[in-house]
Formats: sequence, structure tokens, C-alpha cells
Amino acid sequence: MFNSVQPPEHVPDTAALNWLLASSTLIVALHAQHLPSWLCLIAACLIAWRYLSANHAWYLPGRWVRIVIAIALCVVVLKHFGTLLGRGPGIALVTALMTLKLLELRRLRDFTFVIFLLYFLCLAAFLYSQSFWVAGYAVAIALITTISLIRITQPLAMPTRYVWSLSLGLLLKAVPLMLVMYFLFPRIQGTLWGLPVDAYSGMTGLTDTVTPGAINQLLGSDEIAFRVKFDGEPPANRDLYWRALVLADTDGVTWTRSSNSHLIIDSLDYQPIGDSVSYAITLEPHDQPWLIALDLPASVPVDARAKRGFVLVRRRAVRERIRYQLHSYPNYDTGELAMAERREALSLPETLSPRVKTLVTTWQSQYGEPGSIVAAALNHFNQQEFLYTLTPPLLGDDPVDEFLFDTRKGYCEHFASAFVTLMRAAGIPSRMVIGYQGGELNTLADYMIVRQSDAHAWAEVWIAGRGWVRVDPTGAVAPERIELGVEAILRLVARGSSIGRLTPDAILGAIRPGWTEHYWRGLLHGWDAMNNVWNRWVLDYGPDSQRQLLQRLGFDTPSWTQMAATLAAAVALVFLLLTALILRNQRPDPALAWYQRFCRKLTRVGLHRAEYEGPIDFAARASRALPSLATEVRAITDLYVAIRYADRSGIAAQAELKRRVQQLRVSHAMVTTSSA
Amino acid sequence: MSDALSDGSAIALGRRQLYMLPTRHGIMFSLVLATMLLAAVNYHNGLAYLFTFLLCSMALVSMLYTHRNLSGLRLRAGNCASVFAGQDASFEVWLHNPSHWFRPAVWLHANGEAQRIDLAPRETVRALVIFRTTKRGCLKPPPITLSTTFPLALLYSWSKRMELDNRCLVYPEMGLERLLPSPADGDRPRFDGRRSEGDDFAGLREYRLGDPPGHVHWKTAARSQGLHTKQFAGHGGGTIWLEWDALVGLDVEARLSLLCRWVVDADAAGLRYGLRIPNTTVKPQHDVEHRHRCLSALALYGISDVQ
Repeated sequence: MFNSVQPPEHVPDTAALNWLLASSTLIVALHAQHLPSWLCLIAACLIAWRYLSANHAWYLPGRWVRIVIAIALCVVVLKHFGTLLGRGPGIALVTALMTLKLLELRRLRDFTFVIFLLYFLCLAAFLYSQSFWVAGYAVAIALITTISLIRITQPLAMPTRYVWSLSLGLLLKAVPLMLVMYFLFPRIQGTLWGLPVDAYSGMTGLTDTVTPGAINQLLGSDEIAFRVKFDGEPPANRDLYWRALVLADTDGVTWTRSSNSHLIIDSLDYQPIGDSVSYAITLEPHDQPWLIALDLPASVPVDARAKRGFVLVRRRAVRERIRYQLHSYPNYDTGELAMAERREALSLPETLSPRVKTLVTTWQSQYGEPGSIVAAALNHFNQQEFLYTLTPPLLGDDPVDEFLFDTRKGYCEHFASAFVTLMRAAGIPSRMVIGYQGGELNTLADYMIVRQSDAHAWAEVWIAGRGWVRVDPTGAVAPERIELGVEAILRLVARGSSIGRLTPDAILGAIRPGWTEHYWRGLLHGWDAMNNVWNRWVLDYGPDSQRQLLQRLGFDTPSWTQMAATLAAAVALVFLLLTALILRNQRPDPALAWYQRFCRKLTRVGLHRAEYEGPIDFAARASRALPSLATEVRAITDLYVAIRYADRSGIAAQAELKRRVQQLRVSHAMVTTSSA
Repeated sequence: MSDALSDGSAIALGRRQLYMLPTRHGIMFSLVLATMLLAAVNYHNGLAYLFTFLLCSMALVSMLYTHRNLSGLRLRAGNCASVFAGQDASFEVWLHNPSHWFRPAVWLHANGEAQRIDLAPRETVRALVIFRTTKRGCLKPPPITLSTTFPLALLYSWSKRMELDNRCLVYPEMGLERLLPSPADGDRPRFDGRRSEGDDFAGLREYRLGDPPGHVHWKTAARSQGLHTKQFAGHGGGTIWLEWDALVGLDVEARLSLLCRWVVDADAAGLRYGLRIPNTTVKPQHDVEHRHRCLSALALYGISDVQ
């Protein structure tokens, strides 16, 4: 029974080889971004060599030449990378040897070997980028490589259109099975073997120190920090203070987290006022443990703890995109202040300048009461020609003093640090909070995008009876920043307007985007929404999201065996459906179909073809009943008989039958009464 | 022709007649897929998972394509022209594709050789299974098997060995040329490869092996219309008897071979001839059917039953 009846081997034709070369070229192009350029050049030359030898009878190297080239390639890759192990050198080596293998294609298995290498290299590219573009490009590669596989392993030159549709059909029909496997294949936590050390480089985000006057890298970065999906209406922009860290220690130049801010508090203990806001944050990886929450968070995500200062910290650094659900209260009363906290919130650097001390003393004697002193300080920023700018002058050893009395130009960090220093000098407990302010609403998909350029610093003062109160000195200078977001500021700066000195009309006119910008923005929002879905279901689909999905499907805590059984059952079910779809011979004989339509047309005027009646007998009867159509009826019947029974199965005859049946117009008026 | 294969004698390939196994390429591909899956798991790479499962699913779908390339195919034994022993018998096999899909690269294996057949939707194709004959009698065709690796060659499907019910009647091996016996009325006909004078040209028929070269109509052959043999009505010749007993001193097969030769020569010469062998006598006549009757009698001499 199992005697060998495998089809005999054949040598693929040149056209088949050209498909393979096209596919190799696409793969090398995909890797061109990260492979050394000389290697891409060598690979391209080898592909071109093979193309010329196949199509223009160029010389092909013999065995020894190939061996020499192979050794040379290994050596140069080794010299370039210093090793042959690891992701980079591995991919370089496989690419080089794959293209070299193109020069040595003899047996069918040499060809299929190259094709399988191409599939593998396509996957290897995903280790560098998993973007939407790469995915689309990979689909094109899969399509072309599969065409090569078909053309190479099948011994006939099929029409190009047929091969395209065959390859596309195979891939499209594979999609449902792929999705089932993708979502149900058990995902594991951790890795099978170690990842390269540089796997997490290039992540940006807030740092836990602030040095006003030093260069800030985040302001110009439009990279996305996180996305927020609100359960209800999003709060107004002025209430969107995204808390990340509290900085309470300072040496006069740099602000850092306080030594006791590492204390874990087990409950977020404060008195909420009013309604809560519920939202889900999708945080981009920033290689730091802290999480972002809207002021003030009332819940703690799984896997995280709350720390003093109402900040949330995760156990591990955030190295992959994570999603967590939270709720916050925008209004609150934090109650009494602990002694240690008070001491910390009042500590001042020893280098506090006399000018600062004098200013504060004036306020203290003038107002006395903390609330009034806060107002006086804000008023000071507002009245004394302070300027909000994203490009302030650099500051020296005593940045607070310099900023307050000399330069008077800065952005949030300058204002916040100066304000906190002033408050502490006035004996009011205060601290700096850093995080993000504002966000851009994606109207297409109803979520908010917060970028690194939205990074912000503000102050909190403790006032008896109210607890910690947020005060944003930047708002006193540039209310636009708080009301309209940093986006509007950048736009105003671009137009040369000075911030903080504009009439409301001028501001509105200045920030309203033109219609091109409006549509461009819509396009960007659509793109970002698509990326968001892609991130959620492709890049970040891991054990946690799989558990959530399975829970939604009704498995509470699925065990491995349950998951395997679910996977097997789902694959079997989809496979059965595909079997029914693919093996069904759906299209009836077209000639028969057209003839049946002809019969239906005649049935409508009362001429029904009986089961036993042959087409010729029926035509005779129909001709008598419809003398005006006798020629047509006979012509159609003759064509049908010729196609069905006399082996005249030409396309022309089919088309003729179709045309005649379509053009046939039958009405009751034509029917002669005698035979009706 | 679409109805030609719908009668009872056709074999339709169903699930019971078909088998499937991975090819060497398929085994290799599954190893590649396993490696890709390991990479996806280790790097937590969603896109790598997707790609691996896409290829895996494509291989599974190709299984269905491979199956349907043979499934439902109808086969029917066709004719097989009689040949002389030592010549090649051509068994006709009709294959019909009843479906709306193409069935490219279907391999028909018989007798250790394979031929490729491509079937368009609802097309009927004739294949010839060539089999070298060695001895006279009634010959069964070799069992045939169909196989395919379409479309990706990751899997191959093949059918059971199928016995076709056509038979080839193999005439005895033709003996060397030998003078025909004299006619009963004493007027010995000439046979020299040319037609005898007074013989009427009666038309053309398709060339058969053993026809004298002088009777081949070379004009049609030159026009690439195939070989045809000129036929002549045998009015001019006399009546002869081809007799078993005239060939004394030879063994059975040698006698049959010579008789066979005589039948062919007598037929070509346009003679009326009769055949007399033990247990069988065929009365003198001259036409194609008569020739076949005589040759069949020789072919089946001593063979009791048609297998």
C-alpha cells in the first residue's frame, strides 16, 4: 500500500527561479535597515549573479569557488561583529549564506531549502521591528515566497494570474486558523534563554531628578508616553495632571526623590471629595518602575504598590507596554501631615540666597497667612515680567536665585522649583511633583494621547484643613499652557507671539488649526488608533492579556490542559469548516446553469419543461407555442446540446449561450393561444 | 464527454482510495516552523507568533488542496488497440475532472513510469499507459496509481493501486516473411510490396503496424496528418488457405508466428484468405474484421479462457 509513488523530481524552470530571486531581494531589502551595508551589497550582487546566469547564460562558480566565498563571508561577518553568535551576526550569516546558496541550486531540495530560509529570515526581521509597515511588508513577502514555492515544486508553468490567486487563496484561507492558534496558543511568562543585553535600550521617559536650567530632552520629543481611555467624559484639560513622582529633596540645584519616599504605604489614605474618574492607561515602556496616575489615584493596579506622596510604583521596571485600570479623585483632602514629612517638606538648602530670604520676609510680614502668601507668590510671577519659554537661558550654581531675579525666563521646572523654594522659606510645607499635563484627544477612537512633550512639573503646598494642595506656578505665567496644552504653546511660539500677554481672541485665533492641518491631524489620529489596536493585540498580547481574553470567553483560571484542549478543539472546528468550504464543488456546469435560466424564462410564460422531456422535444414544443422566438429557442437549445453532449465545450460556445439566454425576452403576448 | 465517465464502470476517487503523507520538504518545513515558534516564544514577539501560525495554517490548508487535487477524479478504462507480441500496447485511460477547480500536476504511475496530467475544470483527458508485450494472448493492463504534491509539495497524496478493466488482445509475434501458399485455383498471387495491377484503390485507413511500407500513403504523412495505408479492394486476387498443417516440423509458437505473418501479408496483398488451425476454421474473406478474426484466433490458440 505504501509503495513509493512520489511524483518524480524535476528541475524548476527559469521563471520559477526568478520568483525565488524576487523573494530573496525583498528579504535582503527588509534587513537592509540593520545589516551592515557592505553585506547587503554582497547579497544583492550574488542575487544579480544568479539572475544573469539563469537569464543571460553567465558563468556560475564551481564548487571550490563557492567554498572560498563561503569561508570569506564567515570571516568578514566574524570580523565585523566579533562573534558569530547572537541575533545580529546570526542574521547576517544566514542572509549571506542564503544568497550564496542561490548559486548552487541543483536538486529540488536545494530550492525548497532556500525558500524555508527566506521564511525564517522574514521572521527574524520582526526581532528588530514589529511595526504595522513591517507586518504589511511581511505579508507581501509571504505571498511572493509562496508563489516561488508553488512554481518551483510544481512541474508546470502555470499562468501568473492563476499562481497569484492560488497563493493568495492559500494565505487568506489560512487566516482564520492562524487567528485561532494565535489567540489560544498558551503564552508563557519569561524567556526560554537569555536575551541580548541591549534589548531595552532606547526607551525614553521621565527621570527621577530635575535640574532647572539644565538641558531637557523631553520637551522636543513627540514620542508617546501613554494613552488613556476614560470610562466617561474626559475631564477638562486644566484638570489633567498626570502624577508620576514627588521630588522633595534639593541641594539648591537638583531636585530628587526624598529618602523616605521609598516608604510603602498600604492604603491611599485621603478623604475623596466629589465624583471619581475611571480610566485605563496603556503605558509605553520607559525602563523605570513608576506608573502614571491622574491626581490623585484611589486604587493600585495589580503588581504595583502605592508609595508616600501618592505615587504608584511597579515591582519591575516597565519594559513592555502595560495596561492598567485606575480610578482617581480630582478633589481631595489629604488630612494631617506626619512629622517626618513636614520636616522634609520644609528643608532648605544651606545656600539659600539673601535676595530670596528678603522677598519672603516681605510677604510674611505683609500677609502672614499661608493661603495669602501662596497667592502673593503667584501674583509675583504674574506681575514681574516673568516669561514662559521653552528655550530658557542656562543657569549657574544658584538657579533659583538667578531665575527669580535675573533671567526670569523658563518653563515649568523653573517655576515649580522656584515656587517650592519660596514656600519653604516662608515656612509652608511644599514639594515638587513631576508628571504630565494635558493630552490630545483622539476623536476617532475616543482615547487620549499623552506625549513626552507634555511632561510637566508643578508644586504642592500643605495647608492646614485642606491637606496637600496643588499649585501650578506655570499657570500664573502662561495660563495657555494649562488651559490649552503644550501643543498650543508650541504653535504660539512658532508664530512669534509672547506667551501670557495675549487676549483670549488672539489666542483662539492663533491656535485654531487650518483645514489642511485639521485633516492631517485626523489622519494622524486614525493612524494612531490603528497602532493602538495593533499594540494591544499583537505587540502586547502576552500571558496577561490571554488570561483576560479567556476569562471573557468563560474560563476563570484555565489550566494548561484546558488551554491545550480549547486550542485543539478550535483548530479542529475551523479546519472542518475550511474543509467544507474548499472541497465543495459549488459552481454547477455553467452551460447547464444558463440552460436552466432559459427554462425559467419560458416557465414564466407558462411553458414548463417536464422532467422526462428532453431539450430537443421541449424546444420543438416551445417553438410551436412561441413562433416569433422559434429561431432563438432552437439556437439556444442547439448550443446547449452541443456543449453538453457533443463535446463542444469551447469558451466561445459558452459565451454565445450566455449572451443568447441573457438577451432572450419572453412575454405572454408572444404565446399563441392554441398551444398554451 | 462530460457524461462519458458517469457510467458504472468508472472509478471515482474518494477518501477511501486516497492516502496522504508529508514529503521530505514537508518534514523539513515542520522543523523550520518549530524553530520559528521557539524564537517567537523566547522573544515574546507577537508578530513572529502571527507569522509562524500563518505558515503553519497555510500548510494545513494546502493539505486540503492536495486532497482535492485527486479527490472526486473519475477514471475509466478506454480502448486498447491490438498489437503483435513484442510491440507496445497502449491502454487508454480516461480521466474526468468533475469540479470547478483546476487539477494541475496529477501524476499517473503505471509500470514504474509516471506521466503528468493537467486537468482543466470539467475537462476529460485521455492518457495512454504504454506496456511492452512479450507474449500473445489477452493482456491485462498494469495497475495504475495517481499521485500529486500540488500545490506546495509539503504533502503528497496518492491513490490505491487501481486495476482497469480493459484488455489488450496481443497477436502472436510476427514471423519472418515467407511465401504465401498458392491459391486453391492454382493462380499464385504475387506479393512484392507493390499493389498488383487491376487492383482498385479503395481508400485510406489508419496505419497499422505490419502494413507493408509500399502501401503507406506518404502524401498525407508529409502533410503531418499521420500515417495512412492505402487499401485496395481484393477483386484481382484469388482465394488462399493459410493452414496449420502446411507448416510441419515447427513448434506451436513458430507456427502461429508464421500464420500471423501470412494473415498480414495476405490482407495487405488484397487476397481472399481463410485460416485453418486445430479446432478453428475461418472461412475465406477479405476485410478488416476478417483480419482481426484470424489474428484473434491465432492469439488465443490454446488459451482456454480469457483471463
